[in-house]
Amino acid sequence: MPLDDLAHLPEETLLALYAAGDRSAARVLTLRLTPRILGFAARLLGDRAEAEDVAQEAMLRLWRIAPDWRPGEAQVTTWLYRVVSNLVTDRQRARTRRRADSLEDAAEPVDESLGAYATLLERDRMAALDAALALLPDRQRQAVVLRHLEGLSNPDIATIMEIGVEAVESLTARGKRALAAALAGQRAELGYEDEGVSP
Amino acid sequence: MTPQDLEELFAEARAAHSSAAPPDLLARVLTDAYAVQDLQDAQAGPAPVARRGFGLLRLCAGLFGGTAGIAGLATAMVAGVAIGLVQPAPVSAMTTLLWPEEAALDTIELIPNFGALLPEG
Repeated sequence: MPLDDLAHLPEETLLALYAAGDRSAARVLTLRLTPRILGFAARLLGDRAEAEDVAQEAMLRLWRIAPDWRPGEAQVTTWLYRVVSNLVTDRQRARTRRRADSLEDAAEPVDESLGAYATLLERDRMAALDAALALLPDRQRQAVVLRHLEGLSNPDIATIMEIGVEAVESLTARGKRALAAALAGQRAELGYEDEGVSP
Repeated sequence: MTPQDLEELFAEARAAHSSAAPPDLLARVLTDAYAVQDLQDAQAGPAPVARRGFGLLRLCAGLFGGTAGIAGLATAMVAGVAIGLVQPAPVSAMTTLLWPEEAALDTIELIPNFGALLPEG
């Protein structure tokens, strides 16, 4: 089937076509989904190369499950985000073990690491955001990224993270507060002007 | 940093985030996709050919509630034949009760004996 005809189909239909042997469906799904999960993984891991590995592995799992996909049970994107979340969690645990092995402190509270964060800060808002996100606890970071950068709904995030909607709301609220605190000292450097309001 | 600043930063990040994935990653993902597709095709083998010659059987099975219905009917038939052949005592007693010996039909000879016709020539 021509790519143009497939471009507007939902992921679930494309996956069914892929399972039926349609090469074009594989191309459309690859182009549509890989950038999304790569960005998500990169935000969580803070490492582009590792994020690419995670994205490739998640897509491989999607290809493998395609023949057994049960329509209507889950959204393809939600399922994929959950796979990425689990893969990222595995890697973060491995990192923590490596840090513990090298006698480094695994826990990094936001307030204590602001100085280190500031030294790493580039003069770029995105870099500052990524650095601030990296300071958040894993679950908070995951919730904030899914909600505010991936634009998913709270129920979808709850499904992905396998927690309740209230827990998602709590994680995102705490995450945003922590981000604001982490970036507070950089406000002027990041180009946010005072709006005539004295502190 | 104000909540408004943070929302602005998120919006910028969402816009930046929509950038394309590197071509080599897309190529690797697509290579995986084709490889899995080929493997699944190979495992599936040729499409099974529809069996012929069971149309009537399938029709009957459908009429009597599928395979389970047919199995029930067959069991009832075998049980009926067995009871008829063995004639267990309770069944015989009931038969006698319903149709006693006295109720047997009298026989009437409608056609005379062949021997009686011979003398008349």
